[in-house]
This record gives sequence, C-alpha cells and structure tokens, in this order.
Amino acid sequence: MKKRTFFVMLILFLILLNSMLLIVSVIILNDKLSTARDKCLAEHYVIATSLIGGMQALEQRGNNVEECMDQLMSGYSRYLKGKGSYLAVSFSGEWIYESASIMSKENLDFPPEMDYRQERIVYMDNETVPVLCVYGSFPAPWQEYGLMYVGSLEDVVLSWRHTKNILFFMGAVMMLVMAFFLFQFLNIIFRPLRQISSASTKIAKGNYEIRLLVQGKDEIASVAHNFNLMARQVETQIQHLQEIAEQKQQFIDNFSHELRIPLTAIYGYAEYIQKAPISEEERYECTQFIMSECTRLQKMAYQLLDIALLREDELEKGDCMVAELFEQSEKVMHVKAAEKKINLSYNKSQNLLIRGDKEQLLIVLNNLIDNAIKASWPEGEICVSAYLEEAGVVVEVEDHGIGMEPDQISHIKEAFYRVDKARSRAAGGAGLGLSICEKIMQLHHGKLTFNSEHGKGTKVRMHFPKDKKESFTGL
Amino acid sequence: MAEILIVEDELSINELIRRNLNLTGHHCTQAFDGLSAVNLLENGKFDLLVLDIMLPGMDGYQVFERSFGTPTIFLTAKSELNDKLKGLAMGADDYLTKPFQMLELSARVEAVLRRTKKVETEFTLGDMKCDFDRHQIFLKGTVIECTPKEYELLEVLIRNRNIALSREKLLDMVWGYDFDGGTRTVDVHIQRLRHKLHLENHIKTVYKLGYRLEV
Repeated sequence: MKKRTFFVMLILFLILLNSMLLIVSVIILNDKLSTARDKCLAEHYVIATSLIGGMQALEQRGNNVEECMDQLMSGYSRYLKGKGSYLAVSFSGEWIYESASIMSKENLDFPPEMDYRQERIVYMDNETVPVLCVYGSFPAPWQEYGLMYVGSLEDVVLSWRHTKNILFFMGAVMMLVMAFFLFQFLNIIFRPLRQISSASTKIAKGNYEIRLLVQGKDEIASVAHNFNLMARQVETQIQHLQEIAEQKQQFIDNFSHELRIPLTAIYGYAEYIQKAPISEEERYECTQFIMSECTRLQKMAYQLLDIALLREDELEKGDCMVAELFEQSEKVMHVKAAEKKINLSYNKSQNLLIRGDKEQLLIVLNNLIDNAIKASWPEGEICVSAYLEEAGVVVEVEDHGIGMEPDQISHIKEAFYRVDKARSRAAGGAGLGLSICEKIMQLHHGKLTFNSEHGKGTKVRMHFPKDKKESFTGL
Repeated sequence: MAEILIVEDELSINELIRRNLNLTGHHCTQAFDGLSAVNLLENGKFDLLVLDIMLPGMDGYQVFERSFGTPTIFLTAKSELNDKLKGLAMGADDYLTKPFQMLELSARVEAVLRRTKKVETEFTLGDMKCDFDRHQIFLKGTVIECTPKEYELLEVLIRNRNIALSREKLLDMVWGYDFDGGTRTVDVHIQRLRHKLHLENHIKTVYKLGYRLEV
C-alpha cells in the first residue's frame, strides 16, 4: 500500500515536472530563436543598405559593380567571419559572391526571384549546427541583385542546451528531494497502520495484552481505538476460556484422583482375596472395604450426575415460605445434630418468601447445616436464620466450629475439594456437596458466600435475588 | 523380614499395602498423615518407606526430605511424568502408581530391599532351609541336589510367599519369556520340589490360578 502510493505519486510528479520543463525549454528556445532572427534581419538590412550605398558610389564612378563586388564585400565578410556569419550575393539567379565556401548552396535553393527579404532557417546537410538564412533582393534599380545573410545559430543552440541541461538537472535534484520528503511523509502517515499491523500480528501470536497508543482524533485514531476495544474483548474472552479450561482440567485431575483411590482399593482387595491365603475375618474385612469403596463410587457418580443434569427448566419453582423450609429441614437435621449433642436452632420469627424449588432449596440448606455439624465441636451451637436485605432474602447458617483459612474458602466450591481430607472421607463425603449447592443456587440466580475465621466458626449465606415481578417479599 | 513404614492417608489403601507386605513376611508400621510419619521416622529405624505424595498437612516430598535417607518408594495416583521425575530426582528409589498389582508392589519392594542389602539371605520353613547367597537348599542340615530351575522356582515362591502365582507368571519369572515349553513344565517342577523338600503341605495348588507357598 505504502509502496504503491509512493510510486504512483512519484511517477505523477515526474510526469508533471518533466512536461513543465519541456514546455519551459521550448518557450525559451522559441524566444531565443526569434531574438536571433530579429538580429539576423537587422544585420541583413544594415549590410544590404550599406551595400547599396557602396554599389551606387561605384556606379557613379563608372566602375563595374559585378567586378568590384569581391572588394566591396571583403570588409563585411571579415567583420562577420568572427561572428560565424556569412554573406552571399546573387545576380540574376547566379551567385556572384560568397564569403566562405562552407555552405553548400544546393541546400539554399532560394529562388532568386524570391520576394524582397524572405528568411528561412535551414539546417546544413553535414553540419550539426543550425544556421539561419536571410535572403532579400535589393530595391530598384538593383533588383537584379540579392543578398543572403547566413547567421550561425550555434550560440543560441548552445546556450539553450545549457539552460535546458541546468533545468533538467535541477528537475532531477527536485525529484530526489521530492522522493525523500514523500517517503518521510508516507512513513508518518502510515506509521499508525504499521503499528496496528504489528499489534495484530502479536495478538495473533497469543500476546493479548498489546494495546495501541491513541493519538489525535482522525480516522486512524478511531481505528486504533476500535482496535484496542477489539483487543480488550479478545483478551477477556481468552482469559475467560482459559479459566474455564483450567477449571475443567482441575475437575478432571481431581476426578481421576478420586476415581483412582476406590479403584485401587477394590482391585487390590479383590486380588488379595484371590491370591492370598485368608482367614474368615480377613475375608470379611476385605469385602467390607470393597463394598464401602463401591458405595463411595456410587455416591460420587450420583452426585456428579446431579451436577451435570440439573437444569433450570427442571426446577419446579414456586413461592416457598422460609419458615416452612426451616420446619422441613429441622425434621431431618435435628437427629444428626443430636448425635453430636449440637444445639441446632431455627429462627422462624420473620416470615419471608423465596421463589424457587422447595426440594432443591432444602438440599442446599441441609447440606450447609450438615457441613456446619461436621465443623462444630460436640455440644456446639448452630443457628439458622433468615432476614431481608436490600438485594433480597438471605438465609444464614452460622456455626462456632473449627472455621476455615482464607485459602481454604477460595477452594471450597471446587468439586472434590475437602477442607479436612481424612475426616470428610471417613464420613463418606466425596467433596461434591458444595458444588451441588452452588449449582442449585446458580439456577435460582442466587449465590453462596462464606465468612469464616479459623478456630472461631463459619457463616454461610444463601443470597436470593429480589423477585422482579413482586417487589414485596416480606409480610 | 524388613521394617517398613507405610504413609498413606486413605485407610483402605494403607491397609491393603500392609496386608500385602505382611504376606511376604515384612513388618509394617502405618501412618496416615505427614506429621505422624515424620515423628515415627525420628523415633524408629525403617528399612523402607512406602510414601504417598498427596497427604494432608505435609506432602510426601516434605516427608521424604525428613526421612534420614530411608529407602523410599513413592506411591501416588498421579501418573504424570513430571511427578515421577520429581520423585526420582529427589532420590527416591522407585515409584508406584495407583492402581497397582500385588506382584508389582512386592517386586518393587523386594528390588529396593535387595539394592539396599536389606533382603533376607536365607529362609527357613520347617526342616527346609534355603540359602539365597550360595543358591543351596538344605533339608535337616543336608544339601539337597536340585537343578538350577528347581532352585529358581523355589526362590520365586519364597520371595512371593503367600501369594498365588499363575503358571504363566512362574514360567515368565523362572524360565523367561522366550521359553518354548508349555505350562506343564511348571507342574512337573512343582511336583519335584514338593517331593524332594517334603513341601506337600506348603506348596498349595490354587484353584484356576496356580501355586502358592503358604507359610
């Protein structure tokens, strides 16, 4: 693009400049020629007049004009020879005198009867120097005579050539200067384009942080601005995709790890039973391990299916009273809490309404309470409450158990993540509970937040968005 | 008979390894997390450490750094080359990925113990004594004449005692992969060993599987 512009502009300039120079040189040449012609005519006139005077004087003295012509002309010839001009005199169509023989008269075939004073520019046959011939017959009574003045145009041509050469040399210099400035100018014009091109190459190679400097308010600047917008969009998209890919990879890594343990155990115990001499007691223990590992696999498979298959359109969303939800949860959970002598209390004083699938919400709530029971010390206290916030209804499960470190909280929603590996596995968890809760909350357009202090306890909040259709949620 | 420390947080797998190693006559101590493993290592001398990499609290590599140069076999669910290389680069003796087979476990344990000279040099069962260094078998103190293959077969059975070995496996381990004869060869040699060494009650035929030296 740049090269093309450069060459097109350069060629245009070249044509223009050269045609200008051509015209100028032609004008100069014409000008010089007309000056030279005027000069020749003037010389011819002067010489012709004085020659007539001379001839009259000769005739009065009674001399033969024709015979004395050489004498008469020699003075003029000498004078003119220094200037490179020549003279010739004709009488009745015959040349009776010529100052020098360089002219071949065949070329100067003036008709002797030519009118008085006619001129013609003639290029000599074997000479490169052009000459200007002026011929004129004399006035009566000397009309038989004619004078030819041949003026050399060498000076004119040489000086014109010189001028022309200078002109074209200057033209060439100007060309170079023009080419240089044009090149610089195009460089400046095309610099943003070049930057855009190099930036897009970098982006194509995977360097998504590249941004262009936006200068001014012209078209290029708006292109750069849009380019930056595009680059930012690409970067965020790529980051998003990378995050998703990382999450997937993490999930697969975790999953394969989780899968390997029960598989190792099942295979190992089966092989052991087959190949080792075992007692009845050992047989019981080994088969027990196989069965519990199978149960674990089964549980994991079901929970994974839950996560994968749960869709929003499968939810039976309706209005559910929080108090009702609490009552149902209490029926299931107070037994579990009682096993650890934990005081599980529900605060049902505020009557709030949530729009959602009651069964699924119960799963989330029970899961959170279950986690709270696991985290609590025996004879601890768990408080379940609900309240209204600006953004919507919040259900909170608070325990005073072991709590979590901040970096544990950041991982807690990941599939297969366990805060306390050994204990959670012993309790039969696969580390998928919160993943399911998170999924269910997402389907309700809500979210889970964790607020925990190590050694002091944890607060888990289920945030539900305000129902847009019915602005009131409290009674 | 070696002292082996098993560090693995999964109860079922820890138990599995213990049972397997007990079969071949090793004495095992179990640890379920990194910290208790380090404590055990500080207070006792172990011939071999079977160490899981993913442990709660302190990971396997950290335990390994505090293991006072105890020969170690890393055990992990990770099969990526990087993890293997890291373990071996740190100076681990071997590597075992889950899921593993009994014979693989016992072979690797045996190989490491042999390298570190902790392997038993003789084995006694009733009146029979087998000297692994001199490749000789004694019955009530007198040397029993036997062919090299008979000796090798007995050694394989002793090294993998209490584990049923298939005829094919025995053929591989004693005669090598390129042996052309059929599995009948194994049966014939087993019969000869039973007869010569009075091991009729110890070398058991296991239904559909092969033979097992029970101790």
